[in-house]
Amino acid sequence: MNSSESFQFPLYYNKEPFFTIQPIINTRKIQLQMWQDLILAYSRSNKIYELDLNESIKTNLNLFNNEKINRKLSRDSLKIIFDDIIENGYAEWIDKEKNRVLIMWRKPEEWASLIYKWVSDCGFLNTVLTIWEIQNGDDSKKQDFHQLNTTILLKSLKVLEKQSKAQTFSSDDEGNLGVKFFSI
Amino acid sequence: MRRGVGIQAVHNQTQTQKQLQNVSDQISTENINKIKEQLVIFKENLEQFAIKHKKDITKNPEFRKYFQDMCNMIGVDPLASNKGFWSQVLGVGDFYYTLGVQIIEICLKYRGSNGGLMEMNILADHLRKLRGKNSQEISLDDIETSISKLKVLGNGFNIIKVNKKKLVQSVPCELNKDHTDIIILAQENNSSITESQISQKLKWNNHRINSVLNFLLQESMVWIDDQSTETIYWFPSLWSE
Repeated sequence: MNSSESFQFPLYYNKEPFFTIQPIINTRKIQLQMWQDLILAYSRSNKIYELDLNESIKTNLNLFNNEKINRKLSRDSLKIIFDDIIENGYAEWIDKEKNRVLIMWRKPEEWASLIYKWVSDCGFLNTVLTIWEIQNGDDSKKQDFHQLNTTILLKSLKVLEKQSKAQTFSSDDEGNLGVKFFSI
Repeated sequence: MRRGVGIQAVHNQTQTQKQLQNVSDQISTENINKIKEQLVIFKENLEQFAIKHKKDITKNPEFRKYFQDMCNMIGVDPLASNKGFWSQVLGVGDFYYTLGVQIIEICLKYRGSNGGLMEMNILADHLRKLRGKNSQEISLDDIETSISKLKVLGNGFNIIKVNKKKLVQSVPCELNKDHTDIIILAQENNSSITESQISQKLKWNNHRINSVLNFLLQESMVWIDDQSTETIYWFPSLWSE
């Protein structure tokens, strides 16, 4: 996760009180929204889908640790921030300990419509694709969902299934899981 | 003069008074007419001046300020009406109304993160960004004029003077001297303040310090930072970006 040099941090990242959870509810609401914006933008820029919170503290991930102003988020603050992001539907706890978190800088619904548009643009409707082809195939190289996290991809395909736009075929091996897209 | 007695004397006296009154009325009317004449001439000149320098007035913020001051001095307000001569000639009415709406827009947008306080230079930056490159150049005086016009809408908008800086307040809460004293202190101190700094500089007791800081916290005008030896209170409105 060292590719963050290219990421442009917002100005408020350099403000000291941003790293202390605000006690006043109105101020806190705004602060949590700012953190959500920052975390999602950072994850999008670095294509991060999963985060280990304890690990990110241990390794002083710069997203949560601004060495320039000597301020960082505590583990408790991280928990408050991610609880809020999860409530807004942009993340999910992966484990029961609430340490690993799945970050969805696009919601599955948004991925679903992107994927469906790509499938119909490329003329793949009514054919069967594998999950691997969607994630790693040459055809998807220029797409945002290239290398997309499998859990999020499966969630997105579920959305399409509900809309009767796709049907997945179960397989023992996740990478060989097939999906057929329907024209509507 | 020998003081007359009897009915004739009284009569004479009122007669004289009446005549005096007439003369005084005449003089007053003449004076008023003369002043009126002068005012008409002056107004004509001012209008001609305005027409002649219309370009400068609308384009040059400094020139506009002087013109505005001159008008204020003789009690003419070019902004008072959108339909009057002045706004027709200059279009200044529209100018300040538009600016006013833009000021409201920006203050509302950032109210959450700065508690409704915004330093005027920062507001000006936001305004310039919002208005785009091709619009008229605006000055801090324009912003002040515009905000003074917004006051008719209620006491929502206010300008607080903090030393050399000016803060635009867009929330209708009363800031007393204690509050502004702390804002001034924070402004001199890199937009932050601690309790011990306040007690040292202003010699207030703890109760007074806490009550002022609590108020500012509740109004979201102050954010706390507890990652130092002492809690630091920060004013987002004083941050230069």
